[in-house]
Amino acid sequence: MFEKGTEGRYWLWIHRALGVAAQAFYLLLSEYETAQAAYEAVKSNNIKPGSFATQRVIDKLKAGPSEMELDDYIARVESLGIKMLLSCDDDYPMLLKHIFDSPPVLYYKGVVETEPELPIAVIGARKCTDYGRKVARIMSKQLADLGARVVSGLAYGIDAEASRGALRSSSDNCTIAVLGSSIDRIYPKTNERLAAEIVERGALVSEFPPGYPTLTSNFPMRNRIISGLSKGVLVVEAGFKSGTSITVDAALDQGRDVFCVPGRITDPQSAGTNKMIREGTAKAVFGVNDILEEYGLHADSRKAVRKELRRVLDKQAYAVYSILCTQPCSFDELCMITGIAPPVLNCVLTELEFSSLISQSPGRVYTVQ
Amino acid sequence: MLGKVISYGLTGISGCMIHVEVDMANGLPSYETVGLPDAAVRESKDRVRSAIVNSSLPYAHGKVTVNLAPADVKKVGSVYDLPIALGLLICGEALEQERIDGYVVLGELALGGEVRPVKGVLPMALAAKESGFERIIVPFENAAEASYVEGMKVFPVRTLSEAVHHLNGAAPIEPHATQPWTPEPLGSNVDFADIKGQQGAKRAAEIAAAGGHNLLLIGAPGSGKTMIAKALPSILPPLSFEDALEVTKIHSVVEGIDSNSGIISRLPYRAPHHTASAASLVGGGSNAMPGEVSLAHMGVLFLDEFTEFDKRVLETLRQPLENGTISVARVNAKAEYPARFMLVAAMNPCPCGYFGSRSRACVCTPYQIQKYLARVSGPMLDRIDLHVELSEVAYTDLRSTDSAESSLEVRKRVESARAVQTERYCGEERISSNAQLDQRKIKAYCELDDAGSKLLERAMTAYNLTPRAYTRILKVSRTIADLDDSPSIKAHHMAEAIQYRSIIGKYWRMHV
Repeated sequence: MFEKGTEGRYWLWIHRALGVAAQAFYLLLSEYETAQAAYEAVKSNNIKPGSFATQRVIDKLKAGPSEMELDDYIARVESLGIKMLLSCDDDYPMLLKHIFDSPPVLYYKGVVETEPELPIAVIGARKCTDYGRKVARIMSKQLADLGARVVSGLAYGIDAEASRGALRSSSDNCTIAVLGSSIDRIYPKTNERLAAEIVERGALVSEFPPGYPTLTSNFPMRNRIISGLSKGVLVVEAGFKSGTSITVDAALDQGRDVFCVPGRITDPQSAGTNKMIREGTAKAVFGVNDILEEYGLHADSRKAVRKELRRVLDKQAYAVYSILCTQPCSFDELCMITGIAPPVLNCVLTELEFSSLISQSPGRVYTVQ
Repeated sequence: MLGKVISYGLTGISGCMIHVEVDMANGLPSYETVGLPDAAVRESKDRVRSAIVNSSLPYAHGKVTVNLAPADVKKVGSVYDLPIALGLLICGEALEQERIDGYVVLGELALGGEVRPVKGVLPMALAAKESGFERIIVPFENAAEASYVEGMKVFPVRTLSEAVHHLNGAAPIEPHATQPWTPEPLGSNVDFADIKGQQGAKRAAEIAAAGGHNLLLIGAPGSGKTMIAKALPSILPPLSFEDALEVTKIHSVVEGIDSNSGIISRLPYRAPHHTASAASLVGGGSNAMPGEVSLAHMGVLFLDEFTEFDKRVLETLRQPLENGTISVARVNAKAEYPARFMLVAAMNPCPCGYFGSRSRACVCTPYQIQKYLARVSGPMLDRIDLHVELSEVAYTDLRSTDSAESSLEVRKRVESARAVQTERYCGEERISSNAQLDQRKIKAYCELDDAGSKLLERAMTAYNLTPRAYTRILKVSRTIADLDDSPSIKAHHMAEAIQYRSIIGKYWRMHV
């Protein structure tokens, strides 16, 4: 792919010389049309500062890697098990290729599809509520079940939960995680295991070359890739000012659909999403169907499921389940509302939990799945 | 001239016989103590001399050698003052040797001749009885404590002269009458009826008490963790006489016993502060004294702010939690102490305390929370049978006037469950409650029906439980079945027990 004299090799050479700078890269190419032409101009000292390149860029190009250094770099990337896609390649993701500052070189592990079926970004706050976590998980699973690809950022909170939800489905290539760090330095570290699972069942993607330091400035940059890879962006929870708003801005610039999950008006974690709904920037989403209908798809309703439960569960279990359907309750509240004695209630809750109908969260609060 | 008196010393919490031999030979007046005495024993020389002189008893001058046999055991403390004084008086012919034969003598002397109380009288008296002695002279304040040894005549003395006159037959002392044994009715000032709400936590406390299980309470500040822990002794069965003797033995060695009752009849409740050192918790010091875990023997060890304890200190609890004993080895001594206690640990879910709260926002980052929780290690968690979260207390709960169940009612259930266990384990050595079952015994006593084992299998995979957690669930479900008066463990007992294991997944293996 990167044999001497090929366009790809020149392309990589410029990328290594300029570093992570998509705009400078494309400005240079707009002048010279091919990477090879640009390379030759640099080597023959024919390049002069102009609108397409500042003196700094030219200095960088002149100090570009030697043939040997470039070979070493290619070998190193390969030895880490990381693959590269160039934005001039035919198998570069189509949606991403068409944004104006697509990464010239995309590093990845796993499988990146050129034209995936309905890629939807599911993003949100790092510090999220249980509600947000739950919504992210459920919606991502349903989306993945229907063959959509869940794109996310592998951050704490909603992002990680979205990936986890997608992994719960049985579809292949169900999720893509776009990193704000290089692929060999997963950040946050706690999500390393999740990242490994994503590589198995989808892809990890980053524009940062291996060994690149994990800077705070990386994260806003990667957000354009999240929206760039997707057809629509679903925001589950977002505060007034957050990284999520950067992704939404990028999505709007790129002409993507923006969806928001409404939250309670008193929740600071839903302030951003509620605001977008009010301003009409985003479409309010009450279920996965609200997203699907934009793309001419549809999922089944869950009413039948509820009816079936009534038949299967015993009276007490169904009573507890119905109460939890209306609101999450703590153990003591359930005790008081239902009047079931603690020993029996413990049993009922275990039974419901094992049937994956409810789940427990810190504070001993139970919620329906 | 030679005087011989029998006294007792301590190794760990058991007494060991010490022969006090006083020899007076002709020669220049001198005084030598041999037989590995510590500083307190060596200083007895001056106390003994003054006490004899100030009691207007004859102090014979000569070359005095005091030997404490066996010569290779370290002698500690002031308990040998009175025996040495009596030995000297025999040498000075103020007392006949035959008169003191058959007596065990303990006591410290004041310069004026008064006898002062000493520590560890009960274990010494018990050991003396075992070696066949039936008469013991003890300081007046220690009489009550010693009188609980069956078949032992206890002669309390206030002064050296009283002891001499008793032995001479000039003024015999009446043996101290044994007080009848009465266990303390409720081992605590806090009653379960005082605790509002918290049905779930109360139920967990009941199970813990019924099976002697360890308990971990997690909850926001002010949710009532400390209160539950304090109320726990009130639902525990009272101490039996044998247990009380064992508890008194330990406390007698460390801090002396109240001279009125002479025995500890209330369940021990120890709550060391979280700055406690490893040595103060498990025992140590140059003489390897018992620590808090042994002082809490048969009772409750409450560690509030569990996560604030030094991690290294907490890990030292592993051995006593597993074996019910702790061996302490130091320069001067080596000892094994009993340490069978109920551990009650209380902690907040995160540094700010409000993680998971629905009324207040938690200000901790996920990383901070993980770091905070990591202070409690997995092996430690595995050793605690019941984990329970306390719900937030609503204002309406606090104001409600409906009376909750009182401790007495709960204790009735606990006691009947304990009775079932006592009957079941009567053939077993060292096992009296479900918490003490080991791997092999669990197989014998905790049989599951089909539904139960299927449920447990699902729990194992759902919560990713360790094999140790598996045995804990079995033990707890055994206790729940006992509370239910059911001879076999049913699926619904198992289902409840599983709830007390579900916290780990939520907190310690939390997804952030």
